[in-house]
Amino acid sequence: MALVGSANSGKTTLFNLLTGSHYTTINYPGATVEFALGQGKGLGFKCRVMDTPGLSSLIPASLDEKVTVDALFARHRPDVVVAVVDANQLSRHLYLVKQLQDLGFNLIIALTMSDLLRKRGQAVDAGKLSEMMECPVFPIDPRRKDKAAELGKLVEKRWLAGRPESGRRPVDEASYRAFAAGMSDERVQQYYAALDQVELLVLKDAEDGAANAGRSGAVSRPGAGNGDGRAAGGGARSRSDSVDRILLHPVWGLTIFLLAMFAIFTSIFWLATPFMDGIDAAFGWGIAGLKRILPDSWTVDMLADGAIGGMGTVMVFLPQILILFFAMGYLEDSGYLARGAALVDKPLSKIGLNGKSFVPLLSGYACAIPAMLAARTIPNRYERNLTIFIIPLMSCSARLPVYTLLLAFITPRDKPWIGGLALTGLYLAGLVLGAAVSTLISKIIRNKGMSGFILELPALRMPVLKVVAASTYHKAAQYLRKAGLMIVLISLGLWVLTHTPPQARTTTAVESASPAAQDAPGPVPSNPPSALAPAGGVEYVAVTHSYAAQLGHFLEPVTRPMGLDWRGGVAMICGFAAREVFVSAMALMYRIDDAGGKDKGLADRLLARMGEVRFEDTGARVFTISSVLGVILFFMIALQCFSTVAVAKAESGGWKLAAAQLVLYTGTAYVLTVALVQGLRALGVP
Amino acid sequence: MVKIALREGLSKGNGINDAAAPAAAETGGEGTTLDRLRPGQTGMVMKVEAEAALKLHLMELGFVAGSPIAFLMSTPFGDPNIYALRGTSIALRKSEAKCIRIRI
Repeated sequence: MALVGSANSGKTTLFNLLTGSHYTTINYPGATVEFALGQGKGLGFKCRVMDTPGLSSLIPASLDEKVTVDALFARHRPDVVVAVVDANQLSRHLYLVKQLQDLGFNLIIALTMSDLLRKRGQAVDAGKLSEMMECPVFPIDPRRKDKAAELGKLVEKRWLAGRPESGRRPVDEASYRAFAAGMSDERVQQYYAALDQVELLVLKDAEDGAANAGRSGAVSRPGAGNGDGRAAGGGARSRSDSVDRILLHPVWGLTIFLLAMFAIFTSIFWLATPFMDGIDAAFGWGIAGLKRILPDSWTVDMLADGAIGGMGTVMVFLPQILILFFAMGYLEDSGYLARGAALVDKPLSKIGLNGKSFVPLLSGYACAIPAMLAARTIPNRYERNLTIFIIPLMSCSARLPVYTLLLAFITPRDKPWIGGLALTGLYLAGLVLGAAVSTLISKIIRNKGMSGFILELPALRMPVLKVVAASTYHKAAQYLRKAGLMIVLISLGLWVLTHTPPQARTTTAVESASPAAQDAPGPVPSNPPSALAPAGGVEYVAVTHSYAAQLGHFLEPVTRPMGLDWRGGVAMICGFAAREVFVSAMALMYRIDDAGGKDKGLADRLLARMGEVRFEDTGARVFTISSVLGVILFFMIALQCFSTVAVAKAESGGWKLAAAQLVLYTGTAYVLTVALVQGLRALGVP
Repeated sequence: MVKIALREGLSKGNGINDAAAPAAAETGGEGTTLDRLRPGQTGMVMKVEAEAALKLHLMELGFVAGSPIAFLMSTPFGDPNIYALRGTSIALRKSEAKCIRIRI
């Protein structure tokens, strides 16, 4: 069965109810996120439940609506369609129902939000509605569990009744095309005329239950059945309107908006940090413990440092992703994000974008991939592509470990709030840069199509925590599945590359002239004898003579102007595979796995090491203010995520945009970084 | 009886309210456009004047002849503005509101 209806009709809540929040999200190339399939639970029979992106008419107005239409007619052809109808918007929502009916779908109407209607003193006569629409009408409050089984039975009954054997007209693409071609303005007018009739006869006073025909003039006007509920005063919609007057107030509205954005981003830092530290410590503990228990060997090290260490890198920033997804899900369910979009429409239009770009750009701060998919709600192709183009500049969560590490290096330890402020500054910088790029492009290449906004503002309401939590969980799980796996593999691969060919050396080799025994010729030998090395055991000297090292030396002419030595260079290259891996690559390349202070966390050890490391030839320190700022700048601009390139190509419909992004951003990043580093040094900054 | 009336309404355009709608549309002289609707004012949609795809989309959303429409509030930057239509709030840019002819 498929759930179809407007985005704000309670459809997703119903979906969660029917599937028990157990579902998988399917991303067809180019599908927006919430296209989900779950198993019907507690329905009494086996059934697949499909949720669809919000739809107001079978004639799609944007790409995400097109996905729903495709799903209904081409890909999945549901046996039963449950049309979710908001009792407060009968005519508008029944419009879609009429269309579905005309095309022969086996329909059930799920009538939601009757409680809000009741607050206005009205109610829907479900029996009458069912009679007039010629299909079952099932009033339900999706936030409560009690009706799910009943709905299931109804669906089953309907399914059995609607089988092809019973003479029902089949639904197919051909009939859809005929329908779409025949849709005209007059037809729409007729539909609404009929629906106004329905509204008139079906809406009644909640108290006495009599039909409303003789009520105040307000109701007897067509289309006014729900529309004038506001004028009549009272009711949930007018309460929502009052709050809107604040949310969209010139002064208060903007202030609240900026505060909300600020709150989201700072919560990512402050709220997440204790959890992240905890996870970091846990992984450090686990790895050390593992090494203590198991015998010393290349394989064990590979598993401990490479695989588990790699997993640690991914898990450490999970709290941030969860917080951001949750915050956005919460705001979306409350209806606030639509207000946000309306608020920023004018400023965004000035730089070539659309108010509807707001949500995709905001999502970009979590991960660029779902953000690019979210851009499908923007009807105008130019604006959609422009949004996709600048999304990578919204610093995604993968950059956060990099920023955190590098900022910790250059900001004073005793004043952590400076680091926090700097981090916020970096995020803002990405935003400003994105706006600049957008403005520039919009001046050079003009938007030839028609730009439109037309956004429905759903009634503000308290979000259903269960739904938001479920969606957060699913988004995070999906992210971990896709990105996480790749990161673990890359970390593992990097570890292998830096530890092959394996070279054994004994613990007394520090004084020997054997090159295999020497690590970086730093002031402190990184492999102090006996204190750390197991007596009589072998240690694998990695890095210096590994394959990764050879690659690093090869690339040195490129990385040197940026202020990095070959080891930093290799770490940068790894950053191209996945940005977060840069941190674990740094740890590997600079050999902190046997650095002093095993009880300290990974980050602390790495920071200490970074302070020590010097260039092999000049003896100058590698990590200085200028070189670190350079790396930060590079990560801010460069496009280092190949999955993003692939999605950009799919969403924009060609290679041109994706290739331009890659070349422009990465090239500019390198040039600017070199300029920054050399410039700062010329000015005397170390 | 009601059911039959509905079906006829769909296929022949002879529904009860259809008689009213063309009459309203023909008094185009006193009409104005939605962007001129002042805060607190209520009007009735007469017709949509826009290119085909936009016109269809607006009408499907409920901007059909005879629909009551009210100006709810503006937004901080003055554009878009929020209107009440058929039980919901819809944000429209001035350029889009201009396409909708109304009678106050």
